[in-house]
Amino acid sequence: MNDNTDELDELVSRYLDAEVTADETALVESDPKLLARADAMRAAIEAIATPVDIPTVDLDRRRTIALDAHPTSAQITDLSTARARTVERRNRFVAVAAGVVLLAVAFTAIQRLDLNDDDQADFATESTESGGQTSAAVDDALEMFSDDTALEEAAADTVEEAAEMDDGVGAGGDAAAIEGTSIDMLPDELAPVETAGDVVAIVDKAYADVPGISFSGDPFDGICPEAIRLITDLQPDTTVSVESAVVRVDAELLTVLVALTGFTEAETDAWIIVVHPVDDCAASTVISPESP
Amino acid sequence: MQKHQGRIYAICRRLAGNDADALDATQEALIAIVKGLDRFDGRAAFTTWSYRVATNACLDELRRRSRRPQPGLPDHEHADDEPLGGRPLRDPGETVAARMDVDDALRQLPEEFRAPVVLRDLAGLDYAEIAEVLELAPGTVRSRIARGRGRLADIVAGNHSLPDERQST
Repeated sequence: MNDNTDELDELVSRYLDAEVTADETALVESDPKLLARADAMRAAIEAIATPVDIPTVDLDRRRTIALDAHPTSAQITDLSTARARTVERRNRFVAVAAGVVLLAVAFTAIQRLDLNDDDQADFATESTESGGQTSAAVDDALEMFSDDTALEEAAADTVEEAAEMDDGVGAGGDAAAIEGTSIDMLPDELAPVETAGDVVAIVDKAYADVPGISFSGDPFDGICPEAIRLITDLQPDTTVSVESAVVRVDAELLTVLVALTGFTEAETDAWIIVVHPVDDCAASTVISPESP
Repeated sequence: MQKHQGRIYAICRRLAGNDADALDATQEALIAIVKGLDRFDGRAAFTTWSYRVATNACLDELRRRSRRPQPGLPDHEHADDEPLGGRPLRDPGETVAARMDVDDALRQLPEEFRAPVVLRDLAGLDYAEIAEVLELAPGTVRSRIARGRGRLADIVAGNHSLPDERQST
């Protein structure tokens, strides 16, 4: 589909939603082709809007199952109280997250310094202390947000990173860090790069020494459909894990997906990389068609 | 919950394309709403909030299903059994739009187009509400709705290659 057609479809679509200016309305209504397109879209809209038969009995049964599975509290919560609680949670999370990030940044900066032996001894002590502080901060975060799944998951990710710091080992260097049901060889956000080739290089380096692991769970959990299609086209039935990260290329934020395959008990032998703009899965592209 | 279950089922029905998957997805959506109820703080309308939770739950359930091998015939082989989202056609004078197999047409749409179109044209949400439900930029929502409607229009017309052939005006 070419860009011009998309633009005209968008104009017609907005026309049908009465989201156009007077000039745009005149443009559509003076063009028989655009009016015909509007009629065709209107037919589609009417079809979608056709009322759905509601299976009331079945739905009542499903609702009962849902309520039985997760009984609601008998306590009525005032919405303003709930709102204040949300704001407080967010503020506390931001404070803790900021602390964790600062510690991580400081740790990385220290790690990159060219230290002499004495300094390295000091650094080892600092490393242990800062790692411990990081873990404590994350524990606090987990406790505070234990009823919020998304925040809990975010904090859990940070725990893994903190564990790596405690070990004094960065991503890519510790087989123990990738055992279990997830792989975390890339940080969630990569440093800005200039080309797709840079992304490939980063990924190849990160996974170069990944040994074999036992993986269980759904490798595509949370991955968008077009990316899944591309991955499964290239690696039908063999993908065992997909890790995601975000990277900025020029001004655009891209989601980087690394789909790993061919795990044996001994080694990892292949991966492919798919990228797409963070909010546009349909634009997914494979940037490493040949597995390393 | 009883008041909202019909709306939620309707969305899941259009997203899923068949009754059985829609019921399972609706159950997951209702569970997600019940679980998340104590986090609803009233900043968004309950309807918008419940649509967000339900839409995500339905899409998650459908993604899980799409990755599992399904026993029996694929859905499209049942298409003739169940026109118009399960509503039997009784009146031969119904409109062209009503005779279209909307389930089959929606199934041909990528998910990123299907969800915004369903939320707009079935649920009647405006662009800003859809942006909030799907956590997308309003411009992205507008674009996806237009592209989704465009593709559906081509499917209705039975001409999938039309978009590339149409001339600019």
